[in-house]
Amino acid sequence: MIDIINKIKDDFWTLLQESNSPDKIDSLRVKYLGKKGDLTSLLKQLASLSIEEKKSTGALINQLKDDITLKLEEKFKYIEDQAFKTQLLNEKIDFTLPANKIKKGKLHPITLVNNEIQAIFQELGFIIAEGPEVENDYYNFSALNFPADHPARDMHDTFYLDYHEPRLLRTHTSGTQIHVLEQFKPPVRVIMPGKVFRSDADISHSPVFHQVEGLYVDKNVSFSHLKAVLQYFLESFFYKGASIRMRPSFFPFTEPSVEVDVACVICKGKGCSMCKQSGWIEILGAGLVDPNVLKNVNIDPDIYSGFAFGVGVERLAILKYGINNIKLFYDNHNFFLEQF
Amino acid sequence: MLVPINWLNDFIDIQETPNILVEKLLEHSCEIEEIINKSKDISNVFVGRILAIDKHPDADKLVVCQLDMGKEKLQIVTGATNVKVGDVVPVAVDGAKLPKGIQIKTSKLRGVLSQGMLCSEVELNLAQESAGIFILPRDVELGISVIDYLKLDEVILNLNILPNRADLMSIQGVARELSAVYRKPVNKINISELPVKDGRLRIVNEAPELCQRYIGVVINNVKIGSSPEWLQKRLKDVNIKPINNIVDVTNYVMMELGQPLHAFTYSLIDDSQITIRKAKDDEEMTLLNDEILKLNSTHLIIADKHKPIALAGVMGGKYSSIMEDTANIVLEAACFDAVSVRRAAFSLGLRTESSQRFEKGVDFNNVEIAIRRAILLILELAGGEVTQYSDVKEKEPKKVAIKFRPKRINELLGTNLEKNEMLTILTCLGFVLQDENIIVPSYRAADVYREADLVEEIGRFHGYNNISPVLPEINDFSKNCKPISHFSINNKLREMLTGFGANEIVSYSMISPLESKQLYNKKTLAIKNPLSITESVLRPNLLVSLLKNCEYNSKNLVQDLKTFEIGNIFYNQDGSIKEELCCAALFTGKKEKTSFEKSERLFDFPDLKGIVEDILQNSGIKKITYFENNSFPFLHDFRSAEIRIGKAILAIFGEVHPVIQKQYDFRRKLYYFEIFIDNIIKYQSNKKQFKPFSLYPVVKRDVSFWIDKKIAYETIIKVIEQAKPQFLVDIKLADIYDGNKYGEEKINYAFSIIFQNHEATLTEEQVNIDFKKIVATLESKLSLIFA
Ligand SMILES: [Zn+2]
Repeated sequence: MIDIINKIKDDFWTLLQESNSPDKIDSLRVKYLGKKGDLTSLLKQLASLSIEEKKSTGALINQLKDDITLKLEEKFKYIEDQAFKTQLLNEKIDFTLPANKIKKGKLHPITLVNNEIQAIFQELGFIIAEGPEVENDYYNFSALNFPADHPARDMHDTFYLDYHEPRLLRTHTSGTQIHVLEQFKPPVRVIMPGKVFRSDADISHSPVFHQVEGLYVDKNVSFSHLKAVLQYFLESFFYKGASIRMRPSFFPFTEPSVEVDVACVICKGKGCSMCKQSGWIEILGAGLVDPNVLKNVNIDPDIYSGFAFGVGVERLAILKYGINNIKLFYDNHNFFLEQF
Repeated sequence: MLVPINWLNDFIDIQETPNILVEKLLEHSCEIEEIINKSKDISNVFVGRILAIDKHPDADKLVVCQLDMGKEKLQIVTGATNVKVGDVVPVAVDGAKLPKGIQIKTSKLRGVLSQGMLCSEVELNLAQESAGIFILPRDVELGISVIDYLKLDEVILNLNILPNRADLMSIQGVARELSAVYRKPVNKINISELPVKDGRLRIVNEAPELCQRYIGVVINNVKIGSSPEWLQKRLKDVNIKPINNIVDVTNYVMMELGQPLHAFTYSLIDDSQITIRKAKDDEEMTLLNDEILKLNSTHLIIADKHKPIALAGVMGGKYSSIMEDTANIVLEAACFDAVSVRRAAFSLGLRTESSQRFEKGVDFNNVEIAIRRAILLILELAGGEVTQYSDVKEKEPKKVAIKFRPKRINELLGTNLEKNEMLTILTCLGFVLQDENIIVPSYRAADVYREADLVEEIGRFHGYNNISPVLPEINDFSKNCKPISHFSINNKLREMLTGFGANEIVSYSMISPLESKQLYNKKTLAIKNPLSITESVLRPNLLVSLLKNCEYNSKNLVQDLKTFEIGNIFYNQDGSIKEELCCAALFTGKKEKTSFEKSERLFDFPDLKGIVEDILQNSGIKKITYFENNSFPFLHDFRSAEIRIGKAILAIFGEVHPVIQKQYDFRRKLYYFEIFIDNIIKYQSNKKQFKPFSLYPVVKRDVSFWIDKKIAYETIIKVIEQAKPQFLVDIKLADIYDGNKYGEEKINYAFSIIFQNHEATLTEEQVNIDFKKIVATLESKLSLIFA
């Protein structure tokens, strides 16, 4: 009897190894555990044995039955797992195939830089304001302390409109300072982005370009505030630790006026072709608001003071993205736009 | 403004390398355009004397010169014709380098040995033009370097003077700045010993408002000739061509002291009287270059009894200019009105060294100093004696006094400077403290007349870089100051449009007037002084810009395009200028350019409508109503629409008119929309209201019929809604078939009508009742054939 049991066991092992599909496992189950299966018939043969033998042999058979049941389950699970793994493998996708996407459009680099500038100044509590592009002489020049027939106007090559009253295309965003100060009394802290126009053009000048103007008028506004705000802006925009330099300049609407240079963003001040070996790049003009400008909008310059600055957006974009020709901004070729 | 450092040293003793000098000026005064060193590109050019000149054996146009170079002799072949035996000339010897990268080597010219080259001023980059070889004085030591002899290693600074700094238009003025930088005094020039006779030149000032001061001096018996080398050299250093000793002195003093001067031949002044007056209309004056100026009554002139002899402050006339045989001269120094000189120089296109100084404003007091300096130089260089001297002064300018408030200056700069520190700076610049006031020197009166101007003087000499940065407090100013800006709606539009795959472009606002008339729906505004005809009109819509861009792209490899722009349009509405912010987009070509999928289709009208509708809905326009396009000729007459609320147009969209498409030679259809942002803002509502929704199952019923094409789709929808079905939730167009089954004028629509109950699952019965109502209403209201 024991020999038979052992034989069944050995046979099962051999058959189990050979069985590699759920069907075969099923037929093994029938063969050994089914109603007419080997173990069932073996159990039936127990009747002819003595009680002692019945007990020990019965235990052996039951043990074998449990073993077989477990092994069959294990093998079945294994086969299933293998089949699933194969199925997954068969579903393999070549992820290096090109993507099929709904391509999002791109914003123009001028917009990107504008947004960045605006976000930085909003951190400092600046509010955005706008002004018209078609202006009259008052807002573009005289309110900003440009006397008529003064050489200061030479710095602004101006487009005039063919219209029954004198109208011009604004040459800077500074006129918006006047619009804002006419509407709101200090404290006023605004930035004024916009398109501006100059009637000169060459390789480095476009007759249309963009500026962002900044203005802060309040009691006790000082030059050291201006310096800190510009330092904060240029470090945020370019890189932490970017040093700045200020030198005397002239704008009719600020006094004192300064030109602000930033340590070259390419060579970090060591000297390269971008900065003409000087280590510095001219980046913006600024100054304290000229008392005449404040008077023009009925603000007492003995009580209030302010600072203003103006920065060229294209210039910042050129430095930030390494764009080598100002014409590219206005050609708007798709190959250009899709890079940003 | 060219400033030779050695000339500067006449006024202030500075032993500083040019680089440091430039850095100091940049930090405290003005920008530097260039540091010029003429010796930089020149080497191995020496002084030699011509010992003999022989004919070249094989060339008619060449001669063979023997040269004494001091220690050696050289043979040089030259084509020059202005040299004689005994002339002393610059000689570039073997191995010499000259400007523009020229290198000199010993060689044979037509078989004759030539050991170098005789140089002209042009070849040494000392002049723009020259008649031949540069002939040097005969007493120059032979063999010395031309750089040493001509002092070419002296550095010249090219300063960029800003419009407010009239005082920096002179060597003396720059020296004053350096005086404040180095806290060193400026040397005064000696003008005291002026021998003046009692004679008075007759001067009549008929335009006192345009000429505040006029000094006229007659010097008799001058000897016209060349100026000495040192003077010529300084003039050449500042790019002024030496003419003769009198004219050279006037130019020299102008550069040195900033006061333009002019000299006339006394005998050619009719009636010996100088009149300062406005020109008569149609009066004429011939310039030195024989050009005839047509004058008018806006021009201030200097005249003798009969005619203009100079355009005041701009340029002298030919007639009474200094000539070789002039014996008696009139020397003029004046203070002309800045605006008048500027207008004259501009209108006649004559911007001279003189006019550039007058238009910035000259110093009333400096007029006298300058003429005295010039008189002394003329007496020294040309001899003669002063016989007449007249000084006509109109009202003398008032002294400028500014209240000195060190505390306020510190407040504005954010500094903590001692009063004495401020005074040291101001004193170096020539300001004087008198009681509690700062008295401004006359040469700074044009740009320093208020406290703010003193703040600048102290700020720049203390050094802006020495001011500590302090961030202002970050307060919320928005309560006080709420400017209107389109910033947030623009960014929202940008976000949506990029989401639809469109790229943003930024264009010029100026366009060509030659574009098709059909492009304009509005009266355009023109630019009076355009740079070119193609940029001479302001765009009345954004289509022009987008089309131009599409044209550029399609000629440069990109045919499938989705672009948008947000920008202002401009037009003339009933005589007033309108400037309006718009957002527009242009779509053409394949709808979605996917990587390798085969099924592609072209962008079409429903695609466009979908985008416009989505943008408007997401911009807070709750109800969108479409109307026929009546005002926009640039869109296809029957493939376009307007979205309006009352009379306000919110958006227009459609296919670009085939006429325009053809003009631009586009092969594919273009779809365009323009959104009028201010109208969106006017009618938008950001109110959001929650409505309960049902999760009970929906039931769908299909209906299909043929109907006359003239019946708008919208009408059918309205009819279905008129049936008032109780459980209707949606009507979907499932299919359109434009077949010919019932003739060309009929079209087939298949609808899926969706029903749902909010309280319970719909019964078959309920749906049937609703559906029957719909079918019955359709049949009764419209003429249709069920499919
Ligand atoms: Zn660099």
